[in-house]
Amino acid sequence: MGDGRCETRIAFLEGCDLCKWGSNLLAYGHNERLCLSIYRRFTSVKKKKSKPYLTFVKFTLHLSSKLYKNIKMKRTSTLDQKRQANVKRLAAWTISWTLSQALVTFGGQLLWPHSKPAIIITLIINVLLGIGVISANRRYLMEGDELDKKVQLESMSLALGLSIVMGLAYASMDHTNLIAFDADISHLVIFTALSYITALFINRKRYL
Amino acid sequence: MKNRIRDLRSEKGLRQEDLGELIGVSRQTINAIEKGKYDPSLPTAFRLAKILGRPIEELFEYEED
Repeated sequence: MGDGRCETRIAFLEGCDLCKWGSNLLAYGHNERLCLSIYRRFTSVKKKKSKPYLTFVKFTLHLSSKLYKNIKMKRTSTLDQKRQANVKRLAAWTISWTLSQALVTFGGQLLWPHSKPAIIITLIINVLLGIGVISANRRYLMEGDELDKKVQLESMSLALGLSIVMGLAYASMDHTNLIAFDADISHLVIFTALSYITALFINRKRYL
Repeated sequence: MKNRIRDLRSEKGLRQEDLGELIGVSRQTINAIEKGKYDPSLPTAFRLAKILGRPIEELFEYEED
C-alpha cells in the first residue's frame, strides 16, 4: 500500500475484488490508484446500465417488437385456437399499453420532468399502443363465439351505463363539495373496470 | 324457445364439442342453446339444421309469452 501498489494484486490473479474485469491492467502495473479508478468507472458504467427506467424502456420496446411478430400469427382453423390467438394478441397489446402509460406518468414526473420532447414521444407511443389495444379488442370480439359476443355486449353496456351515471354523479359531488377530496379520472377508470368485471362474471354465470 | 337439438345430436352420436366445431361455435354455446338459455343466430340455426339433417322448424319451436 505504501509504494502505491494495490494490496489486492494477489487476489487479482484469482479474481481481484476491484478490477477483476481488466486483465490488461497488468501491462500498466497493477496499482491501487489505477485499480480504484477502473473500479469506479466500471461501477458507474454498470450503474448506468442497470438504471431501472432504462430497463423499463428496453422491456417496453422488446415487448412492442414481440407484438409485431404476434400480429403475423398465422390464421388458425378452429374457433378455440383462433380465440386463444386473439386473447394472446390482446394481452400483449394491453401489457405494452399499460407499461407505456406508466412510462408517461412516472417518466414525466421523475425521469424527464423538464424534457418536453421526451414527454411528447412517450405520449405518442402511448396513444399508438392504445389504438393497438382497441383494434385487438375489436378483433377479439368480431372473431369470437356468438354467445361470447352477447355476454361481452351485455357486460360492456352495463359498465358503460354505470360509468356515465356514476361518473357524472361523482363529478357533481366534487363540484358541490360533498366529498372532501378531488374527483380523479383514475377513480372512474377503476370503477368502470370493476363494473365490467362484475357484469362479465354475472353474465357468464347466467349463460354458461 | 324450445328445441330438439340434444336429442338429434345424441341420435347422430355427436358430442357438444363436435357439434360446436362443425358449426363454428363453442361447446358452451351448444350447451346454452340446448338448455334454452340462448337463442342462436339465424346462420347458426341454419347450420345446425344442415348438420342434423332436419328442417329448421323441426329443430326449434317458438313459444309465445
